[in-house]
Amino acid sequence: MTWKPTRRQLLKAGFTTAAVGATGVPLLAFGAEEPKDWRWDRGVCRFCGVGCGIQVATARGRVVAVKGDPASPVNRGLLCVKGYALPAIQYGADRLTRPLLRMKNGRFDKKGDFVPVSWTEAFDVMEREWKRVHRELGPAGIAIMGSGQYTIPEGYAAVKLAKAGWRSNNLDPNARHCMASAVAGFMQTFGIDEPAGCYDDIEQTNTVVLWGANMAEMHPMLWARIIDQRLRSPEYRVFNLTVYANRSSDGADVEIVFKPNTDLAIWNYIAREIVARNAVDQAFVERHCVFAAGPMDIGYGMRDTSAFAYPAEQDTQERERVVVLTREEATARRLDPSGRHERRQEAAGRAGAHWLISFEDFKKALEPYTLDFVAELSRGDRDEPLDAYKAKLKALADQYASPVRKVVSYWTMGFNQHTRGTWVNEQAYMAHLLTGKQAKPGNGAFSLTGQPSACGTAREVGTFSHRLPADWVVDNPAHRAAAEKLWKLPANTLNPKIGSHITEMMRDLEDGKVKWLWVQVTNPFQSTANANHWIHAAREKDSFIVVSDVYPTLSCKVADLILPSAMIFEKWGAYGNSERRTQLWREQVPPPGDARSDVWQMMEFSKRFTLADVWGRQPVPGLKAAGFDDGALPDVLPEAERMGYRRAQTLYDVLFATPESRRFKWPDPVAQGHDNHTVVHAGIDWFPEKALFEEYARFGRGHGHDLAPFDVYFREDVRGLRWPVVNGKETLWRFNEQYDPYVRKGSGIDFYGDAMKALPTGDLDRVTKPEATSLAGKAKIFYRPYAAPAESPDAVFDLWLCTGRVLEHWHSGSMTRRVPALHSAVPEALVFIHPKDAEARGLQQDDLAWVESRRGKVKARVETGGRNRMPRGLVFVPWFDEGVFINKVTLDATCPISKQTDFKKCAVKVTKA
Amino acid sequence: MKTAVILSLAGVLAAGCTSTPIADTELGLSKGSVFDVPTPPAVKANERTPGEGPLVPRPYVIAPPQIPHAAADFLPITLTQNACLDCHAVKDKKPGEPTPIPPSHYTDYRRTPDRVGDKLAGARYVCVSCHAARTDAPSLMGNRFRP
Repeated sequence: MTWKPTRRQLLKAGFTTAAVGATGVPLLAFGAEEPKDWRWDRGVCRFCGVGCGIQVATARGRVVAVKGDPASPVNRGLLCVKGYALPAIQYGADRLTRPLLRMKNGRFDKKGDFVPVSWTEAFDVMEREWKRVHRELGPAGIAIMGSGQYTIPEGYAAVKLAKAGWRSNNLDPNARHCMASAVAGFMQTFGIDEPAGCYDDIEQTNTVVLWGANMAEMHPMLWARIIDQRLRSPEYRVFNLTVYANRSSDGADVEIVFKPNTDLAIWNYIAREIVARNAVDQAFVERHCVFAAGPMDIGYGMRDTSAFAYPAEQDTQERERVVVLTREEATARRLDPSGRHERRQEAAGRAGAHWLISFEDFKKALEPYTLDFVAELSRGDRDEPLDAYKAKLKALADQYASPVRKVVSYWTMGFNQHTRGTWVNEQAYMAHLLTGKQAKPGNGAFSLTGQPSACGTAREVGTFSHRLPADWVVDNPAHRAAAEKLWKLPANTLNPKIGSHITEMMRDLEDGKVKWLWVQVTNPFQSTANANHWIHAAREKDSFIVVSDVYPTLSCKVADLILPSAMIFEKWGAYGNSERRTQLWREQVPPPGDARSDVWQMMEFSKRFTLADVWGRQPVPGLKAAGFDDGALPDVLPEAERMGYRRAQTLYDVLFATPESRRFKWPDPVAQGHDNHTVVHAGIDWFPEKALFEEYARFGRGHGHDLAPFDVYFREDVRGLRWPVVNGKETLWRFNEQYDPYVRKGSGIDFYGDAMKALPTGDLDRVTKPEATSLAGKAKIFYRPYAAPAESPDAVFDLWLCTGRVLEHWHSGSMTRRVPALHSAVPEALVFIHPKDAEARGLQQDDLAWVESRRGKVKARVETGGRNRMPRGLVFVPWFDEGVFINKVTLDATCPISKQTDFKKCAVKVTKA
Repeated sequence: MKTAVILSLAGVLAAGCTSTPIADTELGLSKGSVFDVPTPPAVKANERTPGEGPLVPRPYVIAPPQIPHAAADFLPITLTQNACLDCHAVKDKKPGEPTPIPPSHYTDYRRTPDRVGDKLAGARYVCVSCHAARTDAPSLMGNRFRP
């Protein structure tokens, strides 16, 4: 056996790293022999929001291999370790293949154990329970938790079923936990959702700034492109702003470790520098921007009732009502920091309100954010000398202010999962708009998406409690009327009252306001903060919970009925990634056993409802809208009959198997020999996924959200297309006349989004002139103040807890932990802690520790080194491991505007277990 | 023992040939009640020195090989040091010698896809994005993938 040197020995022997060099070309044959019976077809990765293009190989009815698609502009033949695990994700031994219903004595019983039943029995119980709840509570009593991992057809089917069929707006996706703050930031700033730029920015820029986004682990193939550029271009710079050192730090030129929530202050320091150095792009700002502000005392999205609060959590919840400003908050607001400033959170109910302010007021607001103040406030590593930290902040400001630096700012959950997530998203645009570094190649603030189709499905299709497709909203009468027209619904079918967001649905379960819940393509009982409340609610309240999933997840364990579902390559589908690239794929292999596609499940279940069941007069507590009686939706059956419907028609007839849909025949030449088991199981001769896609596309075409026709995405020369796709051409940089056909000719830059583009005027505290001014074509530069988090460390709970992911596992681990290589690599969630913090608590590497908050506690093994290196005072626990159920510990505070939970900061203590 | 329980449960779920009720404590990757707080097992990272152990069989021929030796000492990969390349950037595979990085990794698929270059493609620099290390943790659940 040859003795091999360790790295230390190599370094001692004087080897220098052959960083990107090699001592000649290896002569190994490329790859190994690929078997001849493999059939390749296009696909998209199941996992993160990068949306890598793949090629899937099947043989003998099974998925046998995957490779990165060399033709995909996204990843050019590369995949991360999870992507390469795709062939194995559907073959876990406990794959769900039959519906499972809790029963006792042959009948549904919430206290029973799970018994396999037929689909008919499953739907019988689902229907009976739905109708029982609907009789008691109306459409507000039923809910669907959907997903940013729904395919586009699935999400669209869910929107139709919930909103057009059941007239309920209680449809909200796990993307609420993921991207809601980003969406609110886009809508408030630009009046339209989703990034202006695209991944091409990586190669076009010379400066990348990561803000609270561990791209090296979470968007690995984009990181690969950045590192590629960094290694080939000497002037390329990468900055990593983070609350702990991570793998993105390892590839960065400058790492800035900051304290949780102080990103708000750092942005204002940067803006202050831009203004002070006269680095504002005056022409750009004058032509294309306005300045805006909003209320400050908006609470933290916590429960407004303490009926179910644990005694220990009541002090945190009290901050929802009243807060005493910290010294830093007072300074930030130009108040005397030595005074006591109590603030009632009275704007919690109108947190999104905003108004125009003057540039003078904007400047005045930035005054407190000096380097001294912000450095002192934000330095996250107390072992880093303050001067060194200040130098880094200054270097960061230099990038934004410098005329020769193009800058792309990237962020994901650090900004979005934040009690001021909408604000901090807006601040990213603030810096880019001030300097004119927006909507241009290599210059722009780029909100990265976490999930594979939070963009393509949840946001674009509108699977939210306030949404309709294509950026339309339920509380806008014109939008509702337009949707009703497209869907051929009687006027006032659609419910104008915004429904419950996903965290609110959990609270509704606890309150008894929601008693029927269908969970699809998500694991919300593992992923929702303050989980002890919700798992008890699921099991102990009068409720019926259905979970459609592919494996028995934690949510399945607390459900009443489990429905076996088809996985990604077992159905036709479409996803839309972070750069607006919509990608479609064919079914590759059939689903196993009785597993069925989610589209089949929704179509089949919709047969259980006649129009008479759902379109009569319905109570909606709290409904108050013009043209509606208070508290009720009107009976639209007479109008339906006038339109040619019959009361006995089912929602399947009216929403899905419409004459228009049935024109999309199956078989379809685009299938090229591939099957469609939705069609097989439904026993139909038409193509539901294509029909749903094409019907949905009608909402966006001509409105800046244009998708190409279905078949185009299967062309040999196409690897997805970035919308808007107009006359066959995709759009790389939106709002830029050179690239975006929607831009008004001659305007150069046109922020044509139309939501919230008429505002009153005011000062930094309130509206002073209520008359609305039009901001057509403009974007808003917001002033947003530094604000403290909902809960900070104290004498008892003396550490920050941050949560997140790791490279090898996706989300709640239901797929990746069943792949032997991925599980072996990272088998359990650890608590990452600074060695000194561990030592002070009598803990060493690998010891068992309690991680405990006011809300709950879990056990985890200690990691004092590894890929994440904590500063003193902060610990990190990833959430992929249901055996380390960290969401029992986290806090369900949200951004009050976006309703997105802040999973990144709460107060814990760590003790020896 | 645990494997037998897993397989028989999987058999129940998959074959559906019985109506034996399944308690929720028997479902999923962590058996037991969601209301309990389990104790995570102690786990050890692979400590083999490079060259000491056998290569890890790949699940399918073109899957990136798992790292068969200890990895912690060779990390992190930074802009100025990549210990993986020190051993693996070699031409030929000799018995007992480090596995060479293949020609695919010297090909810039974005700019010159038809050319195998003499420098590692920059997009391939962060080896651990695709090549995973191992621990001694046993599988939680069987997997029926076959190439």
